[in-house]
Amino acid sequence: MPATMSAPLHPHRRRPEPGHHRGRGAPALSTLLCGLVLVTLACSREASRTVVVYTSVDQVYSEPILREFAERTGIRVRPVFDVEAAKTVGLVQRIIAERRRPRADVFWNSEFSQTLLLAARGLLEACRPATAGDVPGTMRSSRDLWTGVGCRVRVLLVNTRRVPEEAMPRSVEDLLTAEPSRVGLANPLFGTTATHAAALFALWGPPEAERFFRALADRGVHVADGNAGVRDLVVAGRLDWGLTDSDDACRAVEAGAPVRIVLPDQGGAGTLLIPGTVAVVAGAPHPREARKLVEYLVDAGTEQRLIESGCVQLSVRPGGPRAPCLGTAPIRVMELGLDAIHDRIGDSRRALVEIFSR
Amino acid sequence: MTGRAGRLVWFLLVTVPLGALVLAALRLAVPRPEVMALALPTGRRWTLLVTTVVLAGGVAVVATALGFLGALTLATGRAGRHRLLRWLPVLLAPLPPYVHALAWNDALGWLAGVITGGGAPPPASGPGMVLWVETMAVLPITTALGLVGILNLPRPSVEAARLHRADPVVLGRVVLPLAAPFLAASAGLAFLLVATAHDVPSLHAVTTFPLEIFAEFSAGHDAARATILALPALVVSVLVLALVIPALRRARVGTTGGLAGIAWRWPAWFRGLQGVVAAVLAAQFLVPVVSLAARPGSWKGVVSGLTLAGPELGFSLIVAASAAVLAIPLASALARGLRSPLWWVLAFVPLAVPAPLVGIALLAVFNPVLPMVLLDSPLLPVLAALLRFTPFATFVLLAGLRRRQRDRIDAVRVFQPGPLAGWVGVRLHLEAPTVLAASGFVFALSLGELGATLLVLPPGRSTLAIRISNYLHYGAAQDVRGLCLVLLVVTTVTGLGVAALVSRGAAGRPAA
Repeated sequence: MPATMSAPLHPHRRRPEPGHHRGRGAPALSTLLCGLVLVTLACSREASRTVVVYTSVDQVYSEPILREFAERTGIRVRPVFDVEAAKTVGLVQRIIAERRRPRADVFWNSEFSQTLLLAARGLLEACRPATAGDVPGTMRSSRDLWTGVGCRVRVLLVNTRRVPEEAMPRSVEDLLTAEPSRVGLANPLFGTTATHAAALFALWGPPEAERFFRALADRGVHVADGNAGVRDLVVAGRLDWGLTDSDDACRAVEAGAPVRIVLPDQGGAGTLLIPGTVAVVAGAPHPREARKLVEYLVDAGTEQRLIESGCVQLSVRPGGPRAPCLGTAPIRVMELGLDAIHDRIGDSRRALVEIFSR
Repeated sequence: MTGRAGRLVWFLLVTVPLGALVLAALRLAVPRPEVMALALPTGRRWTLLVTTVVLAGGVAVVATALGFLGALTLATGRAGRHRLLRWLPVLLAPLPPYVHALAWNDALGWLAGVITGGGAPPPASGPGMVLWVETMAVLPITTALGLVGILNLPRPSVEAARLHRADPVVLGRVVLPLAAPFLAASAGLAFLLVATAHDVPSLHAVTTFPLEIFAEFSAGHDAARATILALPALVVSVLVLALVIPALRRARVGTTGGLAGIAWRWPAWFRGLQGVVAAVLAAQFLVPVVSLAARPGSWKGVVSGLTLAGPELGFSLIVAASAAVLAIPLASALARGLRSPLWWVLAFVPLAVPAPLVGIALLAVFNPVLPMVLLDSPLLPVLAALLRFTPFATFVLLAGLRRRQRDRIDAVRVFQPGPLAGWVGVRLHLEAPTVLAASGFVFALSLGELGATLLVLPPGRSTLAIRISNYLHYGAAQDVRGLCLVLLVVTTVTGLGVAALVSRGAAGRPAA
């Protein structure tokens, strides 16, 4: 599917290589420059109704949803997708860099901390979508700067060929007692693992949380490049178990890998819920279309499709649908406000840089 | 484009965006001088810097040695008669290092499983693994530079020496000193490529200085602070360039196809060494290719990859081809005008700037002022590719310019209607092989660019590298393999075309 959701990509043009025969270089260069100009013009055809969305939601999930929106409304969607290598901060950085002349209309984020950061910097605009009436107050901004869209949870993914039933881990603190080279987590300086670390700082207090992470580092627990990396290592049996996100874990379960998902700390503080968020960028060039897209994304039907596709596993709505891979038992989640977690990110990152970046 | 105009364009392309970064850093540091403490690599940051320098230095030395010995094997002797075969190991240059790393992890995991009789080993981690994987990832580039060097050495000097001394002595006392500038360039580029990236070390649980910069950048979203923090890395890069550049300026080159096709008489131990190097080169090529192509569903993945990523492929080709063509006049102007140390620094300093900062700098300068029609065009991705990869083309062209046949050029200067006509009609003809090699480099590297492109991509457009990265995270192994194979096929077709032209040009070059 083209990256632009409704208009076809500009036509391909033949582009001569710089030849080494006399007189061919200049036409080649001219043709290239003309081609660039034509491509430029082709690219510039602005549909009458357009919305630009920056999204860190995996392209494989967000693309069909955006395509469907374009088909339903006739609004041309021009997405920019983040990549895992940028640890979900590439597009946030871009929104900050473009603040004097915003290009993005909507920011659709797979988590919440970067959205709260943009809100704190005044880079989001208030928007109360009509379809978010049943979204609880804990899952949306008190100033209507963002709204929650589907949730992931932090889980332990266990390789069932390597870990017998009686030795199943039950808590993130089991990382301190397992064989360190056989358990892992993603780098806690980035992504949802950084958010999880901030939540533990908020929950346990900085000294206790710092002790926990220092012990992990000192024991040599494997620090993978990302949550998908943890999943792949567990699936391959190179780790016995690891801490990861529910979307990565559920994908492994659905692919038939010999793994099991354990929701950590169900007898204690509960696991961390990570709602996706959607927001209108301040000074959005297409505000009306932006609001339409936000309404569409926070709609319960869209959330249901996101759950069915495996993008998220839980609804932000009380009693809403959940993914089968998480089972049917009630899920205990940390009783922490998103703001409280976000407020701890600076502290936790400062401490974790000293522990893990060495 | 005249040399002066080309250098002016480059001057603006470098100083305006990167100058904006420096200005932002100064605006931050002047009222709060304590921020400059970030630029002092003390304690933990010093350890990270040393780790980075040691790792990058190790990779540079090993990859350059392997690349040169590999190039010597590929360009001379029996293998040297197959001109296209020479360039085969170079084809993986645009494959992201991360894909190399995953392929090697798979292969070593499998091997360890076989050796231990089943059971998956724990994840491979540590500096040794980083050294090996990074060496494999940059080997296509060091091999290519080794080939450029060997094809540019003055053959008469070597042939004359071979009349009096055995080949190993000639290699040590004549070929290596003559090739030293090219080896220095190869090692310098490998060092800079490894020292500015954090993805492969992160994958193997090794923290390096670029990760520290990235962590600071992602925590504070402040390009100015990240620039100040990056200063020690920048100083190291400039020092490396200061070591490499004088060597390159002293390069002596010939005009007769270099050492291609020389039938060396090596002793058994050296033939053994060549065999080992050939095996490493083969592994460097085969491990990623087999990992991509030999698994079930890979070729189905090519079809689905083409269907899914057709527009991305088109956009990537537009950006890479534009950068490959536009880099040549810039690099040519730079290579001819590097007379002062300032120009040397200006020509190569972008190599030391982390990719996301290049993107941020371009965005900071151009987003507020350019008309939307240009912001929505491939212009900024092309500029990002030019800024990051023109120095590579300049390195390659430096060698080519030194073998220019002055008598012909001077003769044409008398009659040429203008500098452009002279350049196109004669110089381009004489320099076609080197120009095409330089252009091919920029094309391949631009195809795989991610860090800067992500920040300047027009909304609604994407590139193949971004699609691959997204699918890699999702775990769509079949589609990732398919897309990587598409990337390889594109590079192979382009590379074979370039190699054919380079070889034809080399064959047709008159004797001195």
